[in-house]
Order: sequence, then C-alpha cells, then structure tokens
Amino acid sequence: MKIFFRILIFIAFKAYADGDPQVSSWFTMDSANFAQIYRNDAAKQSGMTETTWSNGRNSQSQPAYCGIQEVLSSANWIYVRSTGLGSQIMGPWLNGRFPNLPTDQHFIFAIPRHPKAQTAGRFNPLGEIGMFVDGVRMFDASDALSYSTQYGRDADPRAGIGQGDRVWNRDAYVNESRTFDASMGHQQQWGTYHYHAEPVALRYLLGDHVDFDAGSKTYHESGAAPVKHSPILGWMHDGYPVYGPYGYSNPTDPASGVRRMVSGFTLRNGENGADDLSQSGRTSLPAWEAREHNRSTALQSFETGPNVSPMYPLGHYLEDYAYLGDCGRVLGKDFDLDELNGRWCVTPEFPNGTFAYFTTIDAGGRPVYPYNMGRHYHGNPVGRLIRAIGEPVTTNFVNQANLSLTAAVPQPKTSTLTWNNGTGSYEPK
Amino acid sequence: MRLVRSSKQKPGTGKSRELTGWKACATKNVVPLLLAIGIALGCIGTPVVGATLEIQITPKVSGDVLQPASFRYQTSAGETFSITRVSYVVSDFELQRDDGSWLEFSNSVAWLDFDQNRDSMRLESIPPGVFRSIRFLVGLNTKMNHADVAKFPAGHPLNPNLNGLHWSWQGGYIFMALEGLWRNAGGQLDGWAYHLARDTNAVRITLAAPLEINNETKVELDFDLATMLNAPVPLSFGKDGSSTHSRDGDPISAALARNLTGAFRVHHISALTDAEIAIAHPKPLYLPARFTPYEFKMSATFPIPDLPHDNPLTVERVELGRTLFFDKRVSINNRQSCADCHSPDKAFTDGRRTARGAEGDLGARNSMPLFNLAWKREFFWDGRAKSLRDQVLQPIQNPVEMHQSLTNLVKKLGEQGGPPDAPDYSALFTAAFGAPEITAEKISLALENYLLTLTSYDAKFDRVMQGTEKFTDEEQRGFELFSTEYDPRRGQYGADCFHCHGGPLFQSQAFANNGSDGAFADLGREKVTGKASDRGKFAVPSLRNIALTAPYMHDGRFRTIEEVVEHYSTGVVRSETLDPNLAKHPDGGVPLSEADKRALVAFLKTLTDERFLAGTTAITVEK
Repeated sequence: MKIFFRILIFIAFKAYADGDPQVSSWFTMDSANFAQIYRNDAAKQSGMTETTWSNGRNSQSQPAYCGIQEVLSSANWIYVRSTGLGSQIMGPWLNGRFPNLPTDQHFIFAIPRHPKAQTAGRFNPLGEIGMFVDGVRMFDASDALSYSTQYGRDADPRAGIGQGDRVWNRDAYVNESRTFDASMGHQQQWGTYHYHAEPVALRYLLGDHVDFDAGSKTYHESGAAPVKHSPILGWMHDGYPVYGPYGYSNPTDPASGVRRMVSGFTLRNGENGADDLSQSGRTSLPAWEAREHNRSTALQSFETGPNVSPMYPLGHYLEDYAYLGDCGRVLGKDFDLDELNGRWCVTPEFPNGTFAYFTTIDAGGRPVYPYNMGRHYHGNPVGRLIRAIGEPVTTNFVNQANLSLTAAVPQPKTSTLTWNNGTGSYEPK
Repeated sequence: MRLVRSSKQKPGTGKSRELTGWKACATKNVVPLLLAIGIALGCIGTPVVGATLEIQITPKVSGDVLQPASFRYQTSAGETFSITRVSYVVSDFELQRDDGSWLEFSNSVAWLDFDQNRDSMRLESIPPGVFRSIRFLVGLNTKMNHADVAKFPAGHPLNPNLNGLHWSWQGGYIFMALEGLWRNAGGQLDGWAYHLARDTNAVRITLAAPLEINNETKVELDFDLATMLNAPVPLSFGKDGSSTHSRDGDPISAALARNLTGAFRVHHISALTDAEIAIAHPKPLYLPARFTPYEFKMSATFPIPDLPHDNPLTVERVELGRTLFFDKRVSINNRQSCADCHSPDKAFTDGRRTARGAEGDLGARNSMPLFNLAWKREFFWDGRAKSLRDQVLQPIQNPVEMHQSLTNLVKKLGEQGGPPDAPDYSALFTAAFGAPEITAEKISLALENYLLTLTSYDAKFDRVMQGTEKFTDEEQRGFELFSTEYDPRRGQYGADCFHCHGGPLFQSQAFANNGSDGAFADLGREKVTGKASDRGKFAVPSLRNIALTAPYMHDGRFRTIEEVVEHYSTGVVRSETLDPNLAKHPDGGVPLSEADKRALVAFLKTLTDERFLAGTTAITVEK
C-alpha cells in the first residue's frame, strides 16, 4: 500500500460537504478500511475475507484501502486519488477460477469542472468512460471483443484471434456477467476492478433503492415503489454526472415524483418499430451506429455478423439494439433517455438543470443496454487518468488513515493550558 | 438547554471530574456549571429556570440487574458468558410534547459506563408541561462523531481520555462497547468484544413515557442486554463471531443495531426526591497573593486533561516540586531521591527489574515511567492512589522504598544549617504557598504540580503525524499492524495493539490482565478493589518512550521490546480475568510473522521523545 500524499492545504471534512457535487459526491465512508475479497464461494458462504491475496498473476501482498483516498480541486479540475478497489467485499469471481484478481491501482483521475457539450468529432475511444463515486472505474458497454468474419466467430485472444472486425461489438454485460461478482464488478488482466453496468453494491451503499440479502450476500432492486431521486453514482470523462436509475417524472419538475428512467434502446426483433435481425440476418447497422461512424447502415459482405442463433442470440452485440428515436418513437414521451443514455433535466444536486446520464435497469431490476452511456459522450471527454497533478490544489478530502502516515494535523502543533485565577479554571492560551 | 451528568461520586473525593455542565458541543462552548451546590459546604446555588428531568439507565439482563464478570448468562446457542464492560454514549435527546411536536435538546450527550457507575444524566431548563414520549440516539450524529476530540474539556462526556471510547486513528467514537468472556465449544475461556461504531449504526430509540414535568422528574430506563444479544436477531459467539469493529457489511454490527431498537424500556417514572447534585470545583489551596501561572504544554492532538482546580499549576509550585523530586534527603538515610528510581534519562524509570529502596530492599514491582500523568486518574500499577498528591507520599513512607516518616521529613527539610548545597525551602515554600511552613500536604501538592508538568508529545511519531518527517517502510508497516485489529473473519490481520494502547497518548486508564500468568503471585488490582474479577489486572502503561523504559511489565519480566511483542504473539496465558480483547485471539496471541514483529518493534521505537529527555535531563544538571 504505497500511497504517499503531498498535502498542500488541509480543509476539514465539514468544508466539502456542501456546494459543488463534483467535490461532495464521493463515497468516502470506507476510505480508511482495507479492501477485502472473497476468494471463492465457500469463503463467501462462511464469511472468510482476505485483505491480501495473490494468484501468481495479480498480487496484493499488502492490504490496500478501499477506493477514494483523496479529493482535490482547482478552478478547472477535480482530482481523485483512488486505489480503484470497491468498498463492498469484492468477489468471488467464477468461484475462484477467474484468472484475474483486483489490485491497488493507485491512480489519479482528473475530471473537468466545467463540462461543455460536444460540437464535433463525436466518436471517441471508449473503454474506460468515467469514475464511480466509490473510486471504481467505469467501463463502457462492450467487452472489447467483436465478431471476426475471417474466422467466422467472435474474437478470442486465447485462440489467437485478436479484436475482431469491430463492426459487431460484444455486449460486456451479456457476455461477461458470469465472471462478475455480486457487485457486478470484475477486473481485467492488470487487476483493474471495474463495473460495466449498474454498480449495484455501490447503489446499496448509497441507499439507492437496493436491498442486501445477508444470507445469500446478494443485492436486489428493492420491491418498494421508489420515492426519491437516485444519487450521483459517478462522473463521466466529459464531466457530466451519472445517476442511479430513478429520475424525476418530468425532467424539469422536481415535484413531479420519481420513476425509473426508460432506456432509448430496443432489441432489433421486429417489435417497437425496430427491424428484425432474425429475419434479415445481421446485414445492417443500426442507424445510431451509422451516425456514429458517419457511414451508411448497409454492410458489405465482410462486415456482416452471424445469423441470430442460440450461440449468437439477439443482444449478443451492441449493434443488436435500435434507438427508439429512429423507430418512430418520441424522446420524452415514449422513453426518457437519448442515444447517449442521458437527458437534460433538473436533479437534487443541479436544481437549475444539467445534462445527466442514468444507469439503466429494466422493470425487473436487471441491467439493460446501454447501462451507463451510449457509444459517445455528450460533452468533450477531456477527463482522464493522469500521472501527476501540475497545479496548486485544494484538498477537499483525505483518508484519515493515510493522513496519519504522512500528512498534517491541526495547527498549532502544541496547545497550552494555564490557570486563570479570575475564572478559577485552566484556559487555553 | 443543558444536559448535566449527575454525580454518583461522593462529594470531596479526588479531582472534580464530575462537575460537568455543558452547552451543546456544536459550539464547543463550555459553560461552567451554574447550578453548583456543594453538599459539603451546605450552601445553595442559584436555581435555574425551568424544570429538570433526570434520566437513569440501568443495564439489566432479562429484567435483573447486570452482574458484572459473572459466568451466569447464556446465549441462545447455549454458550455461557460473562459481561465485563458496558460503555456507551447517548445523545440528541428529545421530548415529545402533548401536541406531538418535539422539544429538542440539540447536541445533548452523555457517556454511560457500568464499571464507572455512570448511569444517569439530567435534562435541564425544560419548559414545564406534559410530554408523551422521549427519544434519543444511542451513538452520535455525524457532526458530533467527527468533532475535534482535542477540544472537549476535561469533564465532557466526549473527552476521549474520560470515556476511552474514541476510535483511535480511525476517527469517530465507539458508540457502544460490550465485552466479556465466554466458554467456547471446547470448554475453553474465550473473549468477546462487540464494538458498535460508525455513523450509520447510530440507533434512534423512541419510548412512550407519559411525563408531567413541573419541577424535578426522574425517569428510569432499563437497557436489556439479553435483548441486545438475542432479539430479534440471536447472536452466538461461536457461530457469528466473538468480535465486531463495525466495519461495513459486518453482520454482527447490523444485528446489534437491529436489537438495540428494542433493548430500552421505561421502568419507572417518579418525582425526583434523591437530590443528586453536582459538586463545585474546590477552591485553590494555599494560593499566594502573587504567583506565576505555569504554561502546561501538550500536543494539540491530546485530549484536554483534568488538571486539579484546588492545586493550580504555578511556576513556583512546580519549581518546589522539582526541587523535592531531586532531593536525596527525602529518604530516611539521605541516599535516595525520587529520581533514583525515576531517572529522567530513562523516561523516569530505573532500568531495574523491580525497584530498589534507599536501604537496598527490593520492591515487588517495576518502577513506572513518569510522564503524561495528567491523563491518569489512578496511580501505581494497581491504581491504589486516586490522585498524585496521595501517590507521592506513599513511596516516601514505604519501608522498602524511602522509609521516611512524614513527621521526620517535614522536620528534616525545615532544619537550619543543612548541607551547604541544600535548597532554601523556606523561600521555596513561601513562593509556592504564601508561607514558609513545611507540611506533608504542601510537599504532596508541590510534587503533584511538578509531576503533572512532565508531558511527552514530540516523538518521531508525532513529527510524522505533522508531516515533517516520514516513517520508513518498516515503521509504517508496524504502525498499520499496531492500529489494525486481528479479526480473520473480517479479513483483518493486524496486531490489535490499539484497543488498549490507543489514541495519541498510547495508553488507557484501564486495568487489564494481559495474559502474563495463569496463577497470580501478585493479585494486582484485586488487592485494591477486593473483586476477584480484578485478579491479575494492572494499569495499562503508555507506550510512549517505550524504548527507554525496559525492563517491561509490572514485574519487569521482559528485558526487551522484542520479548514483549513475542509475549503478545505466542505467550498469552488464558485465565478467568484475561482481557476480552486478548482472549478473543487464538491460543498464545496474535500470529505475527518475524518480519511483522520486527516492523512492530521498529514502529514502537518511533515513540521516543528526545525533546522530553533532553528537557528533563537539563533539569537534573540544573539541580
């Protein structure tokens, strides 16, 4: 756990609790606790957790703290230092057979304080798209693998088939969720723990309409009717917030009640005005994807995907979804969220309105496409991981446990008590 | 509104730490108690406007008064157990008026402790009227839980030195500490320690209580520990675990918080007849017309200590005390001063296994280091002295120590024509007490003054905390081990030192059996209290300056810090009074690798305060 902080200015906990949600929304309650994992199902059953672990590939030989370790700010940026490890007990993954384990990533993530809507160059590289407020990284909806027409199958690095054609891109939640833990998290080969879909454990910790079953140690959407607006779950690279699934019924009226936000995407199965890929085969792109790449929807023979089958069911690829706005449905009337998975609305933190993304779940509480964000950002995604902070900053939060290792205590370092015969008591000088 | 702890202590005993009136700590403003009525003096204070409600909470088990340290209780799983500690904070009291609205006593807070006999509190300045229910928080609201603990005055219930419930380096308070021993499935003695903490575990208790408050009313509540451990969520030490530190997702703390909601009951409501009244600060003794107040210096992170109000720290009195401390004539044969067993260069210890008296006799116990005594309320290894002024006269008279009668001491110090370098006590006593007469009481007051000024707070550890120095990797690992619990069930593998040696002082005011023995040559605390449950318990010493205070333990049995660490890793002996925080560990103690043991020792060596040593050594030279 090598986290050394240089403290420039220390501001007490109270100071950051109000004001800017970019400063105050971070989940720091567990920052001074060691991250823990369950290695396998039996350990989870018996409640045996570990704070250090290794499987040969990924090693966490010293305990590391949970998530957010520091929140810093300047006029234009918010900086967050995090271990990248979840606050909930992480794991197990595939009952201990998943080859990767999470490790302390000790990164600094920079988020722009003044997000601006994007005007040109809409296509941006994806992968990591933002940071959840527990300091865990947010990945996009794809798992970075796609169909390869040359091999007639999905890419598979273990079989020597690299990335695929990048035309039919696999849905991470659909294809990888068996490797997720109960929190919907897993990690890639470098040990970076991340969520692709709704962060259900984080939502539980934030009190966002999720229940925890202590017996099975699983999370479930609460059965009760939602009564409060979801909290901020994270921040995208463009500086706009991501909320939990519940927003105001009327985007501009906080008194309109709350309800689950309805995704703007539908399977291309012939319903809801969408075309039917099981009839046509995967021979065309959805209109939103064509707009994304500034091309036509028609695909050449070397771009077509596999026919819909039990092996390649509808939903296997992101391109299996159509945007309802392209299907004769009306945004704001028939569905809530645009093709970026957000909308302009007022929220508890932004009473004057903001563009906001919402994590999407279905009526049964299961994640649905596009999960956190569509295939591009609303704003300019200048947020990123950085190596060092190059400007003076204000410290808004620092993990007290780390503080005790290197950082400052209140000034002055000593205090003095002196007898005052007038008041008959000892008084600080 | 003020919430005032009523006093259970007899008037005139010890220091006046029961005198605690305070305003809401939101303002961190301390208001000295206005309604101060000294029973002993027989005078009556100014009455406050409004009525008073006394709330008394009695820990019970299934309706019967709790029997401490008694193996008479059973969990639902059939495990026999005892309860040795019930210590908790309650706050944010509110009374519901007849119209349904709530009268808030904002930031009201009290600390209740079974062992310390703290069981009641008072709500004052209540507008008379009819109320239908009472509610309060077991625990603290977020703001109070994270207030600056170094700012609470000495008697404030949240002063960490008073309540021993502050969560050390992790911040926040333990809301409720329940501890005891139990017999595990193998029939072996084991410890249990349930520490409910963290903001989310503060539990609001609401109780219907028809109250007509006109003058003084008393409501007696029961706190049922059987409910606490059993209903609606039954807990078993074997099945659920014998400790919790309320980390997130911990099922035991969740169960405790759930059970807490039904654990309080209204037992009785009555007019308050038992006029329990707080004691006023006693007046300063023998204060001369002119004196120089002594500047008592300490770390800004230390809790505010309860310095004696009847013996104000003055430069003149400290100087007299210091002179007496280094004067060999204090002993029967003029061969030994206090400093012989409490040598400043060894952090006021003697390097011997047990003390050696003026006439060469060996004592039974190790000479204790003398610093940060302002944060102690009982002295000697067994706590038999309730104040320093009481303590200092004992070694002087003890036949195996200085063996001097007080009469003889007073006579000797007052003799004219002593040794050529003899201090001018006549002048020193006049400066300190306004008159030249020497008395044993004044000697004790002067020594108390001097001993209280020995504060140690500038070790490498403190400078690391201040950001001016850095730990080595090994020291840092040692610090992590020191301040992390050993709780494999929750994935914590620390050395669990901080439970007893926590906080910036690295000490507690507790007495504990640290597993040194199974049979006890020295009964320790039991000799003072007469309670078998105190058998083999000794004062928990400070770990500051530990590198200088060898040998270790009450009988000096360990020569090195390494041996001490080894004891807590492999040498802990089980017995009926073994501290629950040690008894919950595997046989022998906390398993530690050799590297971790070295890291722990490296960390402990950062607690040496060179400034303190230099300063005190200089005194010797000066003398």
